[in-house]
Amino acid sequence: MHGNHNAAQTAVWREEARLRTEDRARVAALRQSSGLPKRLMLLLALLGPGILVMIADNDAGGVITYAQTGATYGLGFFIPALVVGGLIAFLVQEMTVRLGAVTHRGHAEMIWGRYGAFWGWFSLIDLVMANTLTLITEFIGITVGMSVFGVPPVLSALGGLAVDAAILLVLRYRAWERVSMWIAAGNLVFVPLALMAHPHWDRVAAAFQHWSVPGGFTAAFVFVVLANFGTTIAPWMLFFQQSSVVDKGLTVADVRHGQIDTALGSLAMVVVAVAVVILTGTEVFGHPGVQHYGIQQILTFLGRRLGTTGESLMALGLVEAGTIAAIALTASTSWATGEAFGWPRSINLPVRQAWRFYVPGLLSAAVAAGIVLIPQAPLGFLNLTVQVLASIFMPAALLFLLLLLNDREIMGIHVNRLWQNISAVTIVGLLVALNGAYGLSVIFPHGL
Amino acid sequence: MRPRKQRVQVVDPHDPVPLKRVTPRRSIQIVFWGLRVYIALMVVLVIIGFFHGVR
Repeated sequence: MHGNHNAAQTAVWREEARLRTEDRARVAALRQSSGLPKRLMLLLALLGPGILVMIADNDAGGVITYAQTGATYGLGFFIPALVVGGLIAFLVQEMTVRLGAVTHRGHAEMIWGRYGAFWGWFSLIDLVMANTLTLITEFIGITVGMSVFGVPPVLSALGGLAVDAAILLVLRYRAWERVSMWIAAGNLVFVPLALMAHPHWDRVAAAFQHWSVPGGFTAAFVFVVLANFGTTIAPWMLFFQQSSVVDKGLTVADVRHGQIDTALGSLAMVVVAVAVVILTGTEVFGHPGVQHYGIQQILTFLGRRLGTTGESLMALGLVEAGTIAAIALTASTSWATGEAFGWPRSINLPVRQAWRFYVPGLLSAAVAAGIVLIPQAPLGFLNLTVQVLASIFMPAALLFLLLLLNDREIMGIHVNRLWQNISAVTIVGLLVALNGAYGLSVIFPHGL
Repeated sequence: MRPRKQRVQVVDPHDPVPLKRVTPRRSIQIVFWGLRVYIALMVVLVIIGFFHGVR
């Protein structure tokens, strides 16, 4: 599977190494400089994988989930729960920074090389399936958002696919990362939207004290909890951030900055997610029939309450969320496939030399864009189901991560400390428990 | 007597670590098999939930 390295492949890898060396020389020069401005520039140079993975986690499916959650359950349980989710996401993603910086190998490559082809195929198929399903929700968000501006779904789906492809194919890693981060900054549009709703901040604060659950612990509540955790922590995030760390060329000297990068990303993710819940929890919650509202109804409702500006900003936020996640998921699929099959795999590589690297990711995006255009597809429930499926596969992905982070032969002194293992095992236990509760709620829908 | 010259091995900090296949301990293998069963069961339950219309 990892094949023979011929002369052409060697030349491609040398070109990849040359481009990465240029980026690393820039970082090395900043590291040797003193003074606060230079230190800040060093931090900015090393930011990227953590912020991108966390902001991309607030994808279209996530925004839709948060909007429906706020509309159905108001300003209660889910606000502090999302803060906890952000902390959990940081604890998990920080491990991928260390793993990538120490080993200089992607997650798929590590699983394949360390545990063999069976687990390699298992992880790769899981990831590609989950990424493609998740990409469907991204294109749902893009088409729904653009429909507010009168753009037909065909045009918006094709447009989103074109942007995704262009950014990946034309730009080299450093430019790809910087452009993606500018797109990711658009995620913050939900913060002024939440402020436009004039929420009762005392009720937001009270949510942290009481963790109230309107309607009690019903099957539907368990389903929504699972969907929220599914959108906060997903397997693709492990693969994406580790591959991104490797492609960026981070080393053990950069681990601290990688941790800061991940922490900043987690903070931004939580702020935006909570903002969306506050927005719909204030404007939509409590109105008759909201528990059945899809994203289109929520957009229309927000338009009536906040005016055209509010509806347009929400729609733009949805389009941005779908776009940044599509960029991340496409890269994630390409990196994982390249690692699994031993192909040259870097966004630094030109298309002509590494077309096999680019094809899997773009093909999955094209399939997802096509599915979205199928008439009468149950888009709302498909969105929630995608999130639930991701949280079901997550325990396996975390188990591999734990095994690798405790492998002293490859990690050396950077293995997990006891508290990190306790945290990771607790997270796996929490996800397994939530999934088990969901299973019981399906078998005994009236008996929880 | 002059000391022998020693080769200095320069390690590129970007060199990937060597990867060797390992066989997980029996306890870990049992956990993985349990995980497979669990995932298959949960996927079936999600499909049941879809047709029952949990939402």
